[in-house]
Amino acid sequence: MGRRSPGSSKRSVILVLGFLVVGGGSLVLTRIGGEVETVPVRKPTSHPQLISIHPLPEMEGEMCEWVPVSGEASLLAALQQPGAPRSAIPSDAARADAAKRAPIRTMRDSYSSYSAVAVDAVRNEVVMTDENLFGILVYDRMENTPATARMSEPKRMIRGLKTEIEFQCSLYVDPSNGDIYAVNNDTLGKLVIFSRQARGDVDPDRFINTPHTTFGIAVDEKNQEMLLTVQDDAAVVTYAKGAKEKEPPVRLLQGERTLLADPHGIALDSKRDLLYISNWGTVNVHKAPPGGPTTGTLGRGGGHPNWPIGRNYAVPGSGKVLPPSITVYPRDARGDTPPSRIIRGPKTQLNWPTALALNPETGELFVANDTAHSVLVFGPDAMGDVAPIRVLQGPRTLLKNPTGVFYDQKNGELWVANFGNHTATVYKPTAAGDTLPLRVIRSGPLHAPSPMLGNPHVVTYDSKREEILVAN
Amino acid sequence: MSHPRISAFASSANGNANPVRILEGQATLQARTSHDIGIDSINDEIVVPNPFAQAILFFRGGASGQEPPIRIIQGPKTLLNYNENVAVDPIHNEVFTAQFRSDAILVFRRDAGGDVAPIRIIQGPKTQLDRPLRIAVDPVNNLIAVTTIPGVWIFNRTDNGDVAPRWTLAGPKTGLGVLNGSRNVVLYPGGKKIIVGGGRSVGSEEELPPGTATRPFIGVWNYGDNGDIGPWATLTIPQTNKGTSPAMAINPEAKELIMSGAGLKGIFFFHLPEIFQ
Repeated sequence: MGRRSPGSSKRSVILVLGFLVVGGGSLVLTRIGGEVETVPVRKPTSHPQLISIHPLPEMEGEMCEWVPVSGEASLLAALQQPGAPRSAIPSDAARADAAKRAPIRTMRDSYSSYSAVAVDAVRNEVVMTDENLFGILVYDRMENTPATARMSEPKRMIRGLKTEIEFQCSLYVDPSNGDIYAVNNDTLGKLVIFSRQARGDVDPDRFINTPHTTFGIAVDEKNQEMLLTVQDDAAVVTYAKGAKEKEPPVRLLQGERTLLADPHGIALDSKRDLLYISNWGTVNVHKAPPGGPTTGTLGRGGGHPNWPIGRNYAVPGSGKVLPPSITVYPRDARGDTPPSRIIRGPKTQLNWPTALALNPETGELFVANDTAHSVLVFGPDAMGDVAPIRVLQGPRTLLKNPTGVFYDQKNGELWVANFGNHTATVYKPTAAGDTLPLRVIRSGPLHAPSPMLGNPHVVTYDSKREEILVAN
Repeated sequence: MSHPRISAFASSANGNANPVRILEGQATLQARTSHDIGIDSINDEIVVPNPFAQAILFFRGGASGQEPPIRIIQGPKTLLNYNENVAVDPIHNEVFTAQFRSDAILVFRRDAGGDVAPIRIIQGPKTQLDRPLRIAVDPVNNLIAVTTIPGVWIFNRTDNGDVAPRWTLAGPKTGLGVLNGSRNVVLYPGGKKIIVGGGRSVGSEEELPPGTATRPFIGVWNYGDNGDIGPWATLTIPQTNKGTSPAMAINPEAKELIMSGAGLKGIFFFHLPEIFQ
């Protein structure tokens, strides 16, 4: 990392010309392992061989460097490859000089984007996961960012490579001690748990190895269990709440009859002993071999009981696209158990239903409905193609790609994490229509662009429209 | 989480930019782990894999909002299995996808829809395909490039059945291979360049055993490079998380290499005229 100095362009040109003069003959001097050797090079051909080093404008921000290849992969080694027609090979010096090169621009969101939210009602704090900059942010529950303020500063942050926090998509705060449980959806394959004292770049106090692509979390305090949805394997795994490291799940819900299909959100109705799951709808069949699966998706969970049958046992051509749904099961459903109820159909308005929360007193179910920019509320007995009893939606709500929702029973408030506009918004739980939030916590300036590059795994260029396309 | 929406930004976008359009929502039939986007500039289509649905989705080139695909390849005849990658050849009207599970490359008619069989399958011991992950096609020079566990294999575009690769890039000098973080591969027909990431270990995942931990990079090779041969040029990448793996695209007109990737938290634009000579 560094900043390109004004003089570096000039030096680049000089070095490259030097290469061209020498390279136009028959020998190039190169240094490998401390020895200077003479190396035969190819004669000039009719093909272009100039390496043009162009001056670049000054820029700010992170830089990536062009670096010379290692000694092993040096120019000499490259040239000595038999039959390898290597045209236009720059000299080590030219490549070393080009190491000063930086990106001419970088597109990124420099502000936190809240993806999930939970309230610690005992300690009067609200906790958010940030899936843009990879962190956990803790604010006072009553924080309310003034419209004139750039953003609210969190009381504390957990962030850095030691934390093993990456794509945190859901979280749980233990009311008894304030421990934070945060779910890694991608890359790291573990659920990390931090004590309330954790701040900065610290190791998790505890972790559990989980299946790949866990998304939602619900904790059953009464039975001391922790339930996680698994997108890739269309499953729900249940762990002992105190599980750690390689401890396996105690229960698995998976199979075609479950109608689980890209499950995301999860909520428990402890009063009625029910389990609610939101499904985006795409799925394929995973079929265990006769001897049983040896490992799960990405080789995880080898030999563990109750580990989901992984994508390594997917049946080719079995993929389906089902309508989005909310499936309801007995709390302790296991195996290939069909749902006892399904909320599904056009009247439901489900549109990438991403997170769930439940009011245990009324049994009302809140749905963070990502791409409809809404929160849907269903009654406790909702079933089939049924309309929500309330819909919170509209420009005054500030809802924008809501991906997290939390019902604060003690304070009677509904919280939403809006991945699309750097806000967490608070409402009365009975709010409906285009209602202003009671409070707003902002992690960036009002109306700051929000590119939503949570996991920009692919980029491509559309020459027709001169656009960059990014999928997450 | 993985947000499977496709966001389009102006090619000049800089800093914290809003997309000019977004393709997202239930009607689009997208799901997570779409690790490729194919652009068909001739027929003006966007091609997107959906590994959960084992489908290839085709959208209008200008699709936005909650717009459904105009065509879907999906069903038992397709043999598709966790297809998270795709490459489109608009000149010869073909679509390619590498199949990690079956060590195969499937080729479909670009204008096919529904439950259709591949028109060609590259598969068998001679191919040395070992869990192929991503694919690129060069319709001008008639090549396809595939990242595999050991490195990058180059086949002729029209290869079919059990055929040996035309060239291979594998070995310690290359730093390539899925174990070293190679995912996305890009071919530049004009400059006859192969652009691919490599260098890092994937850690302790049992299915992909640990490799040699090194700093991640993007390397550039020339067409014809064959064997354990170092890159023509190398670009190192910031290690912003434990899962850094670069994805690349090129804008030949602007002579730009565009880089992104899981955990990189942004899109980086490099002016690299050398590649485009």
